[in-house]
Amino acid sequence: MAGSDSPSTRASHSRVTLSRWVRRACGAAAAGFGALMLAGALGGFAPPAPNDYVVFAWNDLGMHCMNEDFSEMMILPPYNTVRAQVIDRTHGSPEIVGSGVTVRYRIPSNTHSSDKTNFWQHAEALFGIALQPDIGLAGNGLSGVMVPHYNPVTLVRDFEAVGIPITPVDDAGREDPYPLATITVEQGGQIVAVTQTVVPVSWEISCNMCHVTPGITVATDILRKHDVLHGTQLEAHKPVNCSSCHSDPALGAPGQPGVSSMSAAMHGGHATRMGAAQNLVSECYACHPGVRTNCQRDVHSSRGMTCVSCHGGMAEVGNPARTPWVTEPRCADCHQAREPTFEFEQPGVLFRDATGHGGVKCITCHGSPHAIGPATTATDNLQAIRLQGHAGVINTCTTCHSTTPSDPFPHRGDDD
Amino acid sequence: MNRMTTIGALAILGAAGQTALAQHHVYHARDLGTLAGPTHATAMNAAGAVTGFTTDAQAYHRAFVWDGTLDAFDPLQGDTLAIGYAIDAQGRVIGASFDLGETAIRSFREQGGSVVSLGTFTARGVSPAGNVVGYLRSTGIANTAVDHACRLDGGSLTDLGTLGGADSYAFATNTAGQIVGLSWLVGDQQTRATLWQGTPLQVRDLGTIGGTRSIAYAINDMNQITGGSQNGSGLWRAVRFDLDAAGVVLARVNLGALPTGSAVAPWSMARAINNSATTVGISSGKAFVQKGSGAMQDLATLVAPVSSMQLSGAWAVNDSGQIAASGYGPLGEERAILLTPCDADANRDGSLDVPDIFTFLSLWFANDAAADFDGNGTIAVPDIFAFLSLWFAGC
Repeated sequence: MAGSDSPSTRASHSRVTLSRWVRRACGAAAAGFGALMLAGALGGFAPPAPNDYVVFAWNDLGMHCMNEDFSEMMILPPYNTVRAQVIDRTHGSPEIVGSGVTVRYRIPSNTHSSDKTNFWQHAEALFGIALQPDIGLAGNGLSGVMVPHYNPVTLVRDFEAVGIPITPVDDAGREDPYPLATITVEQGGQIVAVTQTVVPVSWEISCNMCHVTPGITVATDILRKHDVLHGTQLEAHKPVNCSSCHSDPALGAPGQPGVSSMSAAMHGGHATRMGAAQNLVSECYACHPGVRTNCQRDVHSSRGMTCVSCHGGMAEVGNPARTPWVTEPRCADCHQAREPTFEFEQPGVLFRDATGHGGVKCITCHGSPHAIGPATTATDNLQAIRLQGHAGVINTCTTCHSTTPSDPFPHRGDDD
Repeated sequence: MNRMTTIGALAILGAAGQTALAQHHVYHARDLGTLAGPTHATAMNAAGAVTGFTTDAQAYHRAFVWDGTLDAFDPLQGDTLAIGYAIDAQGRVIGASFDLGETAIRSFREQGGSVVSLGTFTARGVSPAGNVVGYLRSTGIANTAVDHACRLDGGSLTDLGTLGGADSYAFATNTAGQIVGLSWLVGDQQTRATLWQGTPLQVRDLGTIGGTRSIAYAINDMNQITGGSQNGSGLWRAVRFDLDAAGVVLARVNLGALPTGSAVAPWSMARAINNSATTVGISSGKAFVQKGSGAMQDLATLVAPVSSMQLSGAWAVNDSGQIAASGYGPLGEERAILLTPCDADANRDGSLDVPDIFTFLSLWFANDAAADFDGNGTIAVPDIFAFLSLWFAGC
């Protein structure tokens, strides 16, 4: 990408971005009114021209794990989040759209979940709410409308669908942890942009590699060991929601005071007990998906990097001082030395939320975490290939710009 | 007491009361075993041969076929996973060979341990004669990747199209070559159970029972299709679509749903139907069977003797009434299970012997619904002969 290199500071950039949003909103309102008047005179809406808009979509984590069986215990429910940014290309320079369009998502090959998992049978016991089958914890189903989202920290707008209750089994019965979602942008009843992204989900959580005791289930073995080690009575209170005691920011679960976070408990507690996983490509795949799923599939993995290369070993991840889902690897940790003039994530902001280039999110161009392009999985590369003709980071300026800007792209946050 | 003596004793019995009753059904369960890991059934043919997939010690899926013994086979060369989706009358397994995350899924036909590629598409259904249907990856608007229902004609694929939306999927086909599945409608906000049939090809929207979604998973040779539809409240219900000879929908029969036993609303989805209108599927987390105009029943309650397996879904039913199901053992291990009807096992002890006759007679004299063996809703002498017919037939 290319663009002008503004000397403004991060704070001033934020104000510029915000004031620009105000101008855009007013301009859009005026333009909309004018269009309505014209439409009224003509008796209908003129459909937008092709390529007036472009939409990018991604999954926030690059993989969402869920349990397959919820009858005894739950680590994670079906809960997948998709976000999108819409770019308006009609005003000379690209502008991020925050309203005035309807953004929809659907997963063509995966239209129902309630007959693929027993989550809804046990959701009431686990969460205290009787969910309607096929509706997730955030109220979304397997298709619907993505709502406008504004991040007050980064001042960035996008659209989101939170907690989509998808399972890794498609309607044909095939295991598919990388189903494609189709995202459409509508304006005035017309589809003005479309894209596709992977909604990654897997239940390849292989507790059975170790938790095997004759005569009892894997889950009972886990709960019984927990009871013995920590003096709890979990086995007598199945099904157990682990995050009811162990805080888990992934679920917004505060946990219980004095109890370690889920991440600290899981990684710290198992760090010295991974003997059975020593022969795996990555010992992380004993619990995270997985030998079959291979969820770390991004450009780093194709260059020989493993989970540990970025996240550190289990003891590091399980460090109680770490805030799970917040204390995460930063791109700058490695790339800053190679690209000293580049800016990477803003302080305190993760890659998945960070922005640059006039409010465009890093993830918009680079792809989902763990699927940063070019990915080793063909489905994860489809969006980039469709938009610019090749896999990898979106680096073809005319994907958003009408012409290739003459000034170089500085990869800085204040770049506009 | 031998069987002829039994008949003589029964001949003196008179007619009993005329009460509307439900039929009595019993199934004997057979765990199809395991090779290295879980087994999951997907389909069955008329002879009771079952296919599906099993997970090996390295966590990869292998297609299997069970025809008395359980055998698994590898995916096509270059792939790591294989699933058996269907099995024809000759016992040839049709399925998909793939790697997770790849867009190019290949299909195969297996017979006698030899696996042959059928091309780059997902084979999902096969007719008794071996005609294959499924779906292929294609290109839609703005170069998006879309899936289209397809049929394998000779060595080439025929794109069956959609009901106007971007994507469609074919899941099953019958002897006459009618094909059923799912298609998205214009605007891609609703799905419909879909029927493809005839020459030139017709594509029919089978409708819903009030919601915006429906799906068809199976078709028999009696103009009946089954699958699911959302009702007006957005809840999935197993549905049977009854058609006329031209394929026009005469009725959408809501097959109901099993109770959840909690505040959660019940749901159901049918997966298969045989030529006697016996439908099987999943409801509220349980395997179900539903016969003709009868009520949906929890299959687990019909298994005799009571099994330690927890049935989680029923995936196929043949014209002998056998059901291919999946379940979990007491230690949580997933198994493919074959359920064979044995209604004459009146005392539900898992074997067929003389005590079953006495149990039946007790039920008959008590005017118990379980004695309605001819299924006409009344307890009468013909029920005795219906019972004995089954008993002498061996189930």
